[in-house]
Amino acid sequence: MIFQRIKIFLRTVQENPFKSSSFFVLLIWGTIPYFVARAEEGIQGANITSYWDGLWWGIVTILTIGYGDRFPVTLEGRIWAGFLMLSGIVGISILTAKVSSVFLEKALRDRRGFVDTKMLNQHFIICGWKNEMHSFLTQMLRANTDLKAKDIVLVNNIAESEMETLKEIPLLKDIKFIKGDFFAVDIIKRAAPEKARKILIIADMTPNVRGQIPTLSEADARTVMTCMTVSNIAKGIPVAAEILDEQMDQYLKLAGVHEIIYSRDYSRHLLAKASMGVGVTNVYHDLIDPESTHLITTCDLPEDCFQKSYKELKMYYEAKFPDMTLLGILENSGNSHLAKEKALKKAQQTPNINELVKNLRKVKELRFNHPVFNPPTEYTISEGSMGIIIKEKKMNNGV
Amino acid sequence: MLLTKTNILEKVALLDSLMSNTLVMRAIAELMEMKSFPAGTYLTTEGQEGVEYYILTKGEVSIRRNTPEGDSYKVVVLNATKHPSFGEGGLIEGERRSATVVCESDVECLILTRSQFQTFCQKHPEFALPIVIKIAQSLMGRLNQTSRDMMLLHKALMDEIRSN
Repeated sequence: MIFQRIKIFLRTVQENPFKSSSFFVLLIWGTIPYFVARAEEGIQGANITSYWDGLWWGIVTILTIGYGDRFPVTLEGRIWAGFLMLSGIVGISILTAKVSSVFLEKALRDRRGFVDTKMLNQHFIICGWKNEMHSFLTQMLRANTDLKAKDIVLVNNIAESEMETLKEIPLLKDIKFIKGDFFAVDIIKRAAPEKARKILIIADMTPNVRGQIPTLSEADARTVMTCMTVSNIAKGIPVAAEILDEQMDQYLKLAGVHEIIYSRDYSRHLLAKASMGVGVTNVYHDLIDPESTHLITTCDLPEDCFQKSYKELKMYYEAKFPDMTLLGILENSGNSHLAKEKALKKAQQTPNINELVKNLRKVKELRFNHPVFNPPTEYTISEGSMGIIIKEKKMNNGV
Repeated sequence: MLLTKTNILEKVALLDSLMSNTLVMRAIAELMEMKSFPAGTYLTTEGQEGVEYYILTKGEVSIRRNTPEGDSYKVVVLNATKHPSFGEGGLIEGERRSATVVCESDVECLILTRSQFQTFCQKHPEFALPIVIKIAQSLMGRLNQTSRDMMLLHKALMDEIRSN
């Protein structure tokens, strides 16, 4: 019976070394000084005169510091001290060993491509890998000052050594990494997409384990698969995807992804534009180049501008922000799921059923994140819109 | 007071069948009570049973309804200058209010309750009848509108299923 009890006790200690060793240390430190103090009480030349003195002596001894300002002088006191020293040292060692192993395990997990899914929130997920990934990432971090490396989660199948090289760049030191096929459901789930701020899927043309480079269609197919999974488990989270073959975009649209990056087509378009007029290419270059002084971006609109005309907004911007140029409106921006729910609620607020049906049909046709350049002056700004502006970049010092 | 009440009653559409008979008008005017309510009072609540019929004499009220998903919205704002009346369904047994009426300003109303109306009906059935017919007509109108709305929704649903 008692043998069983001991076995169970030992198993608990083994399974919970941190809890049991800390409990053990506290127990020893709390009780033995009492006995020591009691043994030393009233003795000539003793320096441990109270329980509190005992506790001080206890902690100094257990942590192997040993100031020597307090020590037991009686035989009984010294025997108790012996117990404390033997068991206390054992307890402290287990404790410190466990604490260091926790840190070591975390570092190992980070290196091997495991991430604590529960801690992820409002992060930025990038699925896939590109050659020159480090320059792409550093450029992105430099352009978005409110984005930090620790908020980025990379999901890909790249070798650990390459990831290590990436992390050696000081700007990218804290980047998180999940190793696995980004188009597999269980891997994506580890990145907590439903809590992400945004998800970017890059066309992954890196060679697989056998050294074969995927074809364009294979890369695009993986992107489409990832988009479908993500829009299912992370409804409404903004997703942007890079597509190589422009004809695959219909599948992305079916999966609910409306921010599509046609990287190969863009470079062709730019080349074509070079044939148009003189200097048009330079205009595009300046707008896209991260080093240039001006950038095209979106901005939040002031609270009271909704339901007002575009003309009023433009005049407001010209007066209040002379260094910005308002180009147009980005309709229905942000989380598409939330925007749709909001629009549905509004559509129902009429007693006239005819109007209700019309409103609901309009909600169905809502285009999210839809840019409208130079709208006519009577255009009314609806809720959920943002402004499209060209603004001067503030120069960043150093970085 | 009675005279002003009668003047007001003459302007209310529901009771125009009584215009010819001043005695009856006076009888109803005597029954109706003038009450004031501060801004923000809920005179009727959608879905609940009500027993009063209101004639707005001073101030403004807004008529509000709920969407099926529970959001409240304003349908219309009524001003006392047009002598609107509402809640006539309350004079009929078992009718639930079809909308919420909220006082937008301090308000004064003439109120007729169901029990008062029923007593009046028993005493003067010949005058109660046109009033009840008027109420029945408005209910029929609402019923027809509901049927038309059902057809509209039915059609919209069919279109949706066909389009996918």
